[in-house]
Amino acid sequence: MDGYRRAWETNQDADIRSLFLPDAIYRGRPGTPAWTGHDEIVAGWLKHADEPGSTTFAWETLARDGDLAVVRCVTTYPDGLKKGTYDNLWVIEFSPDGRAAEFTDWWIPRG
Amino acid sequence: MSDRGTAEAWFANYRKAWESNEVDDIRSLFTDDAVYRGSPSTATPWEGIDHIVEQWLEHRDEPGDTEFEWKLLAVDGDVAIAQCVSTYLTETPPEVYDNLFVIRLAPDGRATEYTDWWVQRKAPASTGSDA
Repeated sequence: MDGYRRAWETNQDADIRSLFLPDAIYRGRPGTPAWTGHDEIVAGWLKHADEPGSTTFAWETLARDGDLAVVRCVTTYPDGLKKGTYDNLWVIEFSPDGRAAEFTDWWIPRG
Repeated sequence: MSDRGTAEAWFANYRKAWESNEVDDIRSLFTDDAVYRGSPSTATPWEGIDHIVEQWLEHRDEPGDTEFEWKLLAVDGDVAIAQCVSTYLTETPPEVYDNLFVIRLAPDGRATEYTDWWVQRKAPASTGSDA
């Protein structure tokens, strides 16, 4: 999670790649086509990148079950197009080396 | 601690109550002081079993209004999470929702908390007229 937040702030290619297996699956919301593999994830990430300091973020682990983690997050965008507060559940399937094999962001705007 | 069997039974019984709208089926799911949230930051949670039953019946779906698929995603301590797909056949075209149902279970297998994280699926993009 710390690594994810670092990559979110730096948008550095190596920081993003280090989070995911080379063939990982990334979904920005459930029920939509995923980004598959490092190259698609990095390209999609950078296309939707938030600038450093543009968000505040709090999280806690809600459940760990085998390879799966569910993390409860609150993300706030003080300004800009995404302005507002979002409740998130991140569903992450981990590989044994600590990288994510699969990531899905369930995000719901507040209010 | 909850076990997977208890969690599986809870979600199966939730669906049963969703279809039956029987007061006993609804009551059997929740503790007396349970909190039911229709979304994670709702300003109007349903608090207490009487309120839950009342609101459930007010917002009821009729049998056959919905199709529902679910699988148990995670159980950790008293938390259980199911990933679901709910389809409302009452809409044209049918509306599809991805859900995470997050519950906390009391030792007796009833829920003290329920939260529905729902995200409406976007309509598939038109394939256009190039066929």
